[in-house]
Parts: sequence; structure tokens; C-alpha cells
Amino acid sequence: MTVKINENKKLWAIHSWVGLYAGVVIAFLSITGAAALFRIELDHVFNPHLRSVVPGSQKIAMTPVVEKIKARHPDKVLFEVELPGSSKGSWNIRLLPQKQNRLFPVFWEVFVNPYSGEILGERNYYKTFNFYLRNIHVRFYEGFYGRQIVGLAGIALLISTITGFLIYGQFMKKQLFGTIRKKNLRVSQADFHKLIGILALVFNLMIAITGAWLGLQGYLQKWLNIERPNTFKVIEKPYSKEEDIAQTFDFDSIYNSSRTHFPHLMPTIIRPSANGDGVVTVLGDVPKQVYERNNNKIVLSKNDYQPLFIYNISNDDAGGKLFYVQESLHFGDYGGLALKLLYCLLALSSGFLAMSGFIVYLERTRKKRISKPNFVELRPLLIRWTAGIIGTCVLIGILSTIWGIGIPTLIVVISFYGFMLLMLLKTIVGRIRRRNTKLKNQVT
Amino acid sequence: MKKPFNNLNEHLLIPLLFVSAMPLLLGIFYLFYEYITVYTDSETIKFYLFNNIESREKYLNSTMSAILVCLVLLILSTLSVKWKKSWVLLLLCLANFSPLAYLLLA
Repeated sequence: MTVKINENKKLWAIHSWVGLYAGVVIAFLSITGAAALFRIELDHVFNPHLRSVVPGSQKIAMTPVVEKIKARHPDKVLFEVELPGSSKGSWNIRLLPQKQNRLFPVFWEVFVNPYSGEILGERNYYKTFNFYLRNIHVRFYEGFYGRQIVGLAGIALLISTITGFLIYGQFMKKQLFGTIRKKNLRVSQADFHKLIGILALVFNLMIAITGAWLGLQGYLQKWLNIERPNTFKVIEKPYSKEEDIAQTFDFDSIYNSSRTHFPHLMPTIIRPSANGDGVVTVLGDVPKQVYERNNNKIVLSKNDYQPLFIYNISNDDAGGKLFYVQESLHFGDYGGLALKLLYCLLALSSGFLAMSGFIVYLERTRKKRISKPNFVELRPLLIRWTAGIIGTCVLIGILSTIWGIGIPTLIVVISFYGFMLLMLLKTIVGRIRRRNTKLKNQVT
Repeated sequence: MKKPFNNLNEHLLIPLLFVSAMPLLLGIFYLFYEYITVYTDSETIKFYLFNNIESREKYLNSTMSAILVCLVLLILSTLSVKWKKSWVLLLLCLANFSPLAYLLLA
């Protein structure tokens, strides 16, 4: 019995500690994640002039259009062509500069009406709201280890969810499931915390596991020697990079060949090689699949458009399927807009859990904290934190849409590591001072 | 007379029931999306490669049946939280996990 109580105390300590230190990050990721779910849809809403066209009777040939765009941008190299999901969508021709500027990188997008060939508009993807939403959630705009920090937050959410479930019974005592007591703020928030925690338990576990994997994927793949299951390699490159880039091919023939050899594939991206491989990759989705978008593929020769490699996730083994189910489960990209709305609601529950847990902690420790000189009441403290999170998001958003990825990343990196350094120095100075005071007291 | 408090129900079976019901809920949204895509003959229908109208109808029927089974299980799960019968909760937990188990094993 005593052992069980001690175990529960340890679990509760882990739950509180993780919640307290990673709670803000989890809340931040919960809000940005809920918004990032709709980044594609929002891009269509904010840019109908680029994304939507009036369907005509027949689409024009793609190759002359691509060649025209390439001629307009001699300083850039064609990266890929994104095909629309419906007849009302535009072609998105993407180019990369031959020399990338590190502070002001460019990922150029040209939108074309597929029925008339009219250029609808051009933009740098790195300056879009769409990119901002993805990058703030996936990397915090931190240039070095942003993705890994998010991955670690996923592990924190996983620990918090599991320990929360294990101590649930201990905290419910003789209370019926779903009861919300209104004794005071601490009790009501604790009851909401337990109820929402149980209702969204599986969702939080799923988000935590897939988030941790996606965040730490780069390193985990390296350590565990896992290669992307759809990787295709040309052993002996038939061309030099320059020859490969200069080699022309017919986009429509590539599209038709992909339809013939992989009829299930809904082509979404046509990407020519630029490294000497002499191939064109057609990426896309297969109906009924619950896997990451744009990862089924067919690789065709640039010369005769014959298939060199076909990859259908459904035909892969369990490992391959597991690899590609992570992102779609994380971003709810397998059930249309209705599922994304459900995901949004559930995603906000993780933020609510972090916040209600924080309120319970502050109320529980109020008596201890009230005597301290830097004591702040709950309401202003919450307003301060919320305003801080929203303010940071807005500021990075404005900087990102004006200057692209470089400047906000630089600011985040300097602020983040500067803050860490400041905290480290503060801790060291504090410890030295405490030791000196102790020594003085011993001498006297 | 007030019912005695049942630790097993309140602390384990009801939470487990919600754990098992969440994949069903997500599954319903996925199946419904599939159903609507095929039923409305959306532009992506050509990639489903249905050989004839019968195979399309068969797919629609199987999707709708799966939606109904999941929906019934969800409703029963919600009601069983009110009934608080241990054996019902346990049975529904197992029933809720069965579609997931089928998917994993298939």
C-alpha cells in the first residue's frame, strides 16, 4: 500500500514537473497546431486570385507554359509543378534561385490558369501566411534545432498524458466521472482538467507520439538507419547537373505515362531531377489511403517516359505504412474539412489542459507565493502569458510576411539563445552569491 | 437507496471506454468523407478505378455499413457511461477496439 502511494506521488511529481516546464510550449504548439491544420484552406481563401480559375472546356499544353516561365526567370531553376486537386484550381510552377541568399531565401511560385495560360500572379512562398503557419508550429522559427525542440515537446506531452492517466484514479477518489465541482477556481479547474484529459486522452497520445517522431525524425532516421521507404536512387548518373537541368521533356506525356502505369495515382506534383539523374518524379495520392500526402510516386525516364520505379504505400510492409501514417494522423489530413474541424477542437484541448494545470498549480501554491515580493495575482499573470504568446505569434507573422524566413529566424535565434544564456548566468550568479553568504555566515 | 461507489467503473472502465471510442469517432469522419467523395461523384472518382456501377455501389454500401456500426457503438458507449454496468462497459471497450484490431490485422 505504502509502495503504491509512493509510486503515485512520484507519478504526480513527474506530471506536475513536466506540465509546469513544458506546459507553455505545449499550449503554444496546441494553438499554432490548431491554426496550421487549415493553412492550405486559408491560402485558398486569402488568395483566390492565385488559386481559383473558371473551368474552361480544355486545358492547354503544360510544356510551353513552363518553358515561358523558365525564360522569365533565367536566374532560377525549375523545381516542380504542383497540379490542382480540382478543375477550379491553378497550376503552381515552383522555382528555386541558382544561388540562394541565406538571409533572404526564395522559393518562387508562379500561378498559371491551366485553360488560358495566363499568369495569375507570382510570390515568394517564404513570405506567405501559409508558410508562416507551418513554420511557427513545426520549428518555432528557430533555425537550428526548432524541429527537435518541438519533438521534445511531443515527448513531454506523451509523459504528461501517460502519467495523468495513471494518477487519474487517485485524484478522482469517490468522485463520479464527469462531475464538475464548483467549490472554488482550483477545484473546478482540476475537475475540468481531469474530464478533458480523459476525453482527449487518445488524441493527445496520438499527437504526442506522431509529433515526437516528426520532430526528431531527422536524427531518429540517422540513428536507426531508416531510409525513406519511397527512395529511388540512380547509381550511375547519366548526365551532369547542368545537362540534366537543360534537358527538356514533355510534361503532358509525363502526366499521361504516370496515369497509364500507375492508374490509382492522383498526380499532385511533377518534379524533374536537377542532379544528373535524368528522371521525372510524379508524386501524388491514392484514394482511400490514410497516409501522408504526396508520397506515392512513379519515377519516369526523361528520355522515353518509361517507368523506372513505382511506389504505392498500400503495397509496402507495416514499417513503410507506419512511416507514412505519422504526418497524416498528426495533421488530420485524411477526412476532409469536417475532420480538420474536429482535430482543431481536440488540438485546443491540449492547450486547455496545459492552462488549467497551470491554474491549479498557481492556486495550490498561492499561500506560499503570496509572501514573496514578486507575487502576481492569477488573472494578470494569465493575461501576461496569453498576451506574450499571441504577441510573439503576431510579431513573427508580420516580420515573416514582410521579410520572409531569414529575419524572424535570426530574431528568434538571438532571443531564444540569449534568454537561455541569461537564465544560465542568473542561476550561476545566484548560486555563487548563496555560497558566499553561507561561507560568510560560517565565518561569523 | 444510493448506489455504492464502484472504483473499477469510475476509475478504469469509463476512461478506457473513452480511450476506445476516440478511434471510432475519427474513423466515422474518415468513412463519411470517403462516402461523400464517391457518392457525389467528385472529380477524384476516376482514380478509384471502379470497374462498373455495381463495384461503386458495393463500396458505398460497405462504407455506409461501417459508419452505422461505428455510430451504434459510439451511442452505446455514451449510454453505458450512464448505465454504469461493469460488464456492459467492458464489452463495449472490447467491441470498440475490434474495428481497430481488424484494421491492424487486415
